[in-house]
Amino acid sequence: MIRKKRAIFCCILAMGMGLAGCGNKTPLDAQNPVTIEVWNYYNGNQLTAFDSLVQEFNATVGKENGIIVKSSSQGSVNDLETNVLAAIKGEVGAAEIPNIFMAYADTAYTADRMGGIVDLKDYLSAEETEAYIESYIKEGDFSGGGEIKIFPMAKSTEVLVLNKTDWDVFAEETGAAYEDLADMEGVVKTAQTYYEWTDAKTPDVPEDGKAFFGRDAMANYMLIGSMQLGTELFQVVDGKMSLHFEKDVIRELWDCYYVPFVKGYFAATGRFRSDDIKTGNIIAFVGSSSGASFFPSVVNIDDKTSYSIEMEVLPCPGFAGGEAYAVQQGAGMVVTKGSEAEIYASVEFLKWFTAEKQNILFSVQSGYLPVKKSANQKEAILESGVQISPGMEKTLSVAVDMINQNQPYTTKAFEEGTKARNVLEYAMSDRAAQDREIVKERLASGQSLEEASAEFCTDDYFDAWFEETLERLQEFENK
Amino acid sequence: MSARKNDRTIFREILLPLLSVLIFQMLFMVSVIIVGGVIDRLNQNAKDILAQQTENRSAYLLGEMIGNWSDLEMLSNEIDAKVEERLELGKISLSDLNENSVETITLLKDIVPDLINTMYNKKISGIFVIFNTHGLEGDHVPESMQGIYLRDLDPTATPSERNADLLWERAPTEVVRSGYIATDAGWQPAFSREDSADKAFCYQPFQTAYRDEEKLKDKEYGYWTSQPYCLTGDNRTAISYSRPLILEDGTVYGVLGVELLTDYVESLLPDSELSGDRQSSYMLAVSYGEESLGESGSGETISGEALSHEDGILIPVILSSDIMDLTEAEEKQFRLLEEGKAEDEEGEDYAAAKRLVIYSNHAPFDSERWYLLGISSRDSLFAFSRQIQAVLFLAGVLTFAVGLAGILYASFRLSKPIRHLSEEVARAQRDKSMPRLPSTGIREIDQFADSISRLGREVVASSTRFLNIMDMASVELAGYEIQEEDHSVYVTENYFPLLGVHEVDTKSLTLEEFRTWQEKLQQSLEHFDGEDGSIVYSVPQPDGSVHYLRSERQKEAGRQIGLIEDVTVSTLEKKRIERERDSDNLTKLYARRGFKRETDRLFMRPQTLKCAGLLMIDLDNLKTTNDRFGHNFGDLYIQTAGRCFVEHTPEHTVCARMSGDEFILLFYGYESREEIREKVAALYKAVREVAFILPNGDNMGLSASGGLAYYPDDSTELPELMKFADFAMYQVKNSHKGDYREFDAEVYERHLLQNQCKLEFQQMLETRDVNFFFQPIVDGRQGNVYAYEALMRVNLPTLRSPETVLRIAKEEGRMHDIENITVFQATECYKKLLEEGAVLPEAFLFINSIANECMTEEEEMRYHMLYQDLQDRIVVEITEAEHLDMDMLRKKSRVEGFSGAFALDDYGSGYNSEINLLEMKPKYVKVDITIVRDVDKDENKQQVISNIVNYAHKRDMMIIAEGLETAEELQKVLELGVDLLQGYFLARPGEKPSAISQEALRVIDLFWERRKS
Repeated sequence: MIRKKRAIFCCILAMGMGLAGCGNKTPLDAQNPVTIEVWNYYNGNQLTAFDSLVQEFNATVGKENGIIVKSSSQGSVNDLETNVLAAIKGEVGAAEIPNIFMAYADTAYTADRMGGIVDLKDYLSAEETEAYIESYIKEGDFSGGGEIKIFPMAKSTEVLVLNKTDWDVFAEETGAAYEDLADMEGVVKTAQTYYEWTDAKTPDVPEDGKAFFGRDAMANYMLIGSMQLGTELFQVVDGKMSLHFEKDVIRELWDCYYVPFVKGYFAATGRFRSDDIKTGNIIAFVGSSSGASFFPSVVNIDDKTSYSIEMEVLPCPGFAGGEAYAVQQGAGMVVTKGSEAEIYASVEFLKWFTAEKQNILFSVQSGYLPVKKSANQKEAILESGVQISPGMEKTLSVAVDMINQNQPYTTKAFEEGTKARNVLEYAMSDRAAQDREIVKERLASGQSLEEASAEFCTDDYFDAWFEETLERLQEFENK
Repeated sequence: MSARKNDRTIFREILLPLLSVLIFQMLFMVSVIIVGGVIDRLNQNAKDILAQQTENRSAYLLGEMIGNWSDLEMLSNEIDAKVEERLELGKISLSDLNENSVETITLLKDIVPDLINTMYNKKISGIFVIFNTHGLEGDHVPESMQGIYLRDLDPTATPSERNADLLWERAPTEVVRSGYIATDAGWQPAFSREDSADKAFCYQPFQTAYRDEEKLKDKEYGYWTSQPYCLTGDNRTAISYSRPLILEDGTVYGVLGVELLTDYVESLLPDSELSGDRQSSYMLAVSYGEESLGESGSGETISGEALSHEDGILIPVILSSDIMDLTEAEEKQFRLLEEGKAEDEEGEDYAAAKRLVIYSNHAPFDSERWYLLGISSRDSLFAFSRQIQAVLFLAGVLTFAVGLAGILYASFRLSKPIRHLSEEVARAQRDKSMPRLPSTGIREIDQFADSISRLGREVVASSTRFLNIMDMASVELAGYEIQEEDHSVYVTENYFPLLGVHEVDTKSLTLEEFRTWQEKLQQSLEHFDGEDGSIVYSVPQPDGSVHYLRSERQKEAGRQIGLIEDVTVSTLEKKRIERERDSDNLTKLYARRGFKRETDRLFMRPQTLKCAGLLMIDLDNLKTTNDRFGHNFGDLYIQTAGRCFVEHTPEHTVCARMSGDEFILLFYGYESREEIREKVAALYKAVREVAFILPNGDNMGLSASGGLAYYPDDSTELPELMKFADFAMYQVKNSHKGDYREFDAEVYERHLLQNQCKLEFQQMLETRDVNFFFQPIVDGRQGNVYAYEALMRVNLPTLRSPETVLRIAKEEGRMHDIENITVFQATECYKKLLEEGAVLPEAFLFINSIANECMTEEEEMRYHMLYQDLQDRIVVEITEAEHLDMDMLRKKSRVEGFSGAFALDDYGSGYNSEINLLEMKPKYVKVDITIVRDVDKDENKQQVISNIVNYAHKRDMMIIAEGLETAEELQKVLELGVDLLQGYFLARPGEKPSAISQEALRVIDLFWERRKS
């Protein structure tokens, strides 16, 4: 009798519970959404593009499944890394760890070493993984065991951007051609011609030639250049880096950047070389395809003098006779550990974001390249039906070809890889900028360019710099 | 109705009270919740929480706005100092500041680090400085202004190495080239007009300060843009705080400000703290008060458009969440209600409002009142209370449902065993078996059920015993029981066999079948009523004998019980006794009782009786025969007569010996009297032929006197017929014995009347119920009453006239009694009248006396004693009858106290001849009425009267004329000299004598007057 009563009681209880909770396939609940914090380093159009897609996600798939994505820009890649690591370490004043943050392999690697990263392999089927460009997926395979610690989101490579308006005048007068810009040697030569051509415009003012070229991301120049010239600068095995800072290779790189820089053929004044184009400082630069949206349409010499310009995009020049490598850059998305719902929601968001339609839309607006094989095609992009600006079309066409026709390369992550990279970033360019100031002073004091730069164009000067830099880099070796 | 009311199931009996308790509980719960105001309190609570959060957040925001972001004192002083210094040193002129001059650029480069520091320190998203010395109204508004607009997209992050996270929004080319700060997409080397003069962040503080002659301190002109703006070429919206740069001499030379991207401000307003469901939002809003119109004195300000808004309406500046955008928020028209509360126009959203006092009282822009609103849709805000309501409702419904289920279950469970019992009993009743009552598990019910079944067993046992006893009983008993309610019948197995029916199966017998059988038996079986209301059936048996079964029914509420009992033995015995009692031993004819029974039966069936004759016979001479020859012979005589009657009467005759020598015969079933007469004649013929040999050897015939009465001619009633027949027989017996006569109604009537009168006469004598009327006798001279005559009145149904009384008295020899009654009663009546004063005391009383009778001495004595004082005025009136006995008269006159006055009545009518007159010498002579009648017309009568008057007057006698009926008669007798007058014309006799008629008196008066004259 008592058992019978108990059974009835249980039935009633079960009915009550049944009302409260329903069967759940996913750990998500549309009524009780999970909020995902995403940190990026986007600015400008990229940020706008990203945020608008996030909004779309929140309004559609996110709403259905109970996911709210909040994105926040952390300013620059480095800021983002600093903030992320601070958060993971739990430093005073640091923000809470985001669910997803954008990171290069090095940062991701560091974070992974701290144990805060989710292996996304378990959340992706083999088919899904297969759809992504292999090298992108491999970037997150730190151990070589097939793990996916970085979710490819948008990649970029480097292209050569040209102020076609000014170039056309120059080309017409000097017979310069785009073919001249096919390799670094040609770029240096053309830059010299441009300097001399502009210098000749004002015969009364000596040595007032203008710089032709600049480049962002010096580390890329060093690493890709080295690869093209036959040496992988940072060889990483099992997270350990062995340095291959080959002197003759570096000398080639030195000759193709430092030397023309101190001579004023190359220049770098603003934060990015696109700023230099805006201020009329240079007319060509190598920069990330993702910077395409920042490519200016106006040159402001000062607040009174400005003119519109047309841009041309050319493949990134390599080294003559070198191997065909193209830089593969652009941070991926790293998912941090959290509740199952949060991880699940994060992956849902990323999958959605990299689905062909969204990925191409983002590409077209940001200049980044789609990460799926099917989407990373000129035709796919053009036929996607997305409104695309002429500049962006040029950039993406070139960039897609760059990735598809060259071997994409990116350094493998290793301990303090970012710092090592920073050494490469600034070692040559800072020295060049610094020495150029001296040259400028000397020029101002009436010396000829030859005289003013003679000091810096010696083997000894290079050797000294090389040794110094080598030493700095060796610190990171085998750590 | 009451039957239905009482017909309730136990299930319902348990269910209803429990259910009403449950419903009461539910109502109580609901009312407690409603009265307790729980929901209201929850709602208020939600509002309070919202208000509290909003207040906390506003405190933080206000702290940031006042204490941090707008605190530009140091930077402002720094810039002022640098500019003042350069101006003093002549390194720069005020006009240089308006141009893209080397000096300006140097100055800007110089202050960039200060700007960056300030920006980092204050964690703001942008900072700007604009140089301008021109007024911003009129024709001299500059096309562009020099300055710097720096932006940090991640203000909360730690400052980047090489300022890599900063962007130039506005900076001269030279400044851009100089450092590691990138240009933003919308970068421009200088502030265009639309980004400076047209923007509130520049215009408001600058122009207000520029226009003011009495300069306030620069920070008093500090202005918070109340409408988010975008820089040209940029798509980020921002608000800013800006203040004019004023030199010591009061020259306004630019604007310094900090910018807060709306996204950033939004991030500082975590609306999730308002409610968990993201349906809430913070809103930074501005209300433009009316006083701003008056004080600023300028309707052309940038916020001029906003000023047209109604007072109290909150114009949104920043919304923290995307539940609505700014346009929607504006359209919703949030309005301040009372302190700390706001609401949109539709009332969909509720907001807690907290004012942010960011302007000092007399600052130029204090009319723009800033508020922080914590907005929540009412749905969301009151979600909890709604949820509680829903939960309470659900709980209520569940409680009710569970309660109901429980009650149903309990009621079902409690009633189930009882129902089960009842079903078992019903089943048993159907199967006619003893119910096996199942155990219910409820002690009281089980005890009850046990008792019932024990009782049932006992009843069965006792009824079985009873049945056994019935079986063993010497008389066979059978019975049945009908239950009207459920149309069932129980019949004992031997019921029908007893009644001679063997094919009925009593087990499967229905009530209808049973009734049909009963009716059939009632019709087919002979039966008669038993003594005690029962019916006795006679059931023929196969062996030819008859069984008698007494059937008795009893009806009581709803059932009928019938019992049949074999009463053959007792019935046969009774029949035997009856037969013996009803017949006469001697003659074997019916005795009186038997005759009565038989005739009663016949008289109930006139169709059998048809025409009938009742012959009453009395044997003559039985007494003498008995006396002479002894009783044995007498008996033989009677037996012979009886046998003769039986032998010589046809079939339809009932013969009976009533008593001794009296026989009665009823002939019935004839069409007419003639047929009966023939039969009777035949009978008498036979009777006359019978002859006896007497013991003495003589021959003697049978002699019987008879009276015959007919049915229905004489009477339809047997007793009357018998009386008539008897009457006729006695007539025969009194005349010529040995014959018979038919009843004659006329003779009978006469006989009867006579008998009746005699009977009444006897009665009259016994009761002395004789009345007397008195008629005045008037004095013919005076016209006054001379005397009264007492006249006998008999009040009996048949016997009415005094003449008849006298006749019967004479026949019966009771004259003396009549005399006695007359004398005593008349005197007595008169005495009473005298006492009443109804008669005159001096008048005489005439009493009629029978001539041949006189009082005994004893009577005389008594009379004298009673009426002594009346005696001297009494006149004895001798009624003429036969002849007068003088001895008697003498005796009369000797009565003590008697005056001796006689009156001779009816003189001239017959008996009282002149001889009587001579012998008696009466004092009064009454002339007979036959002589007085029409005396006025008949001279002979006049002569007779004249003669007697003549004779009487000579002998001192007075003449009375009686029976006077007309005035002429009166007139004539007066003429003839009559002394006293009596008759209807004068006065009628009455119990109390009536007065003398006036007409008569007039005749008398007239006569005497005429005589005198």
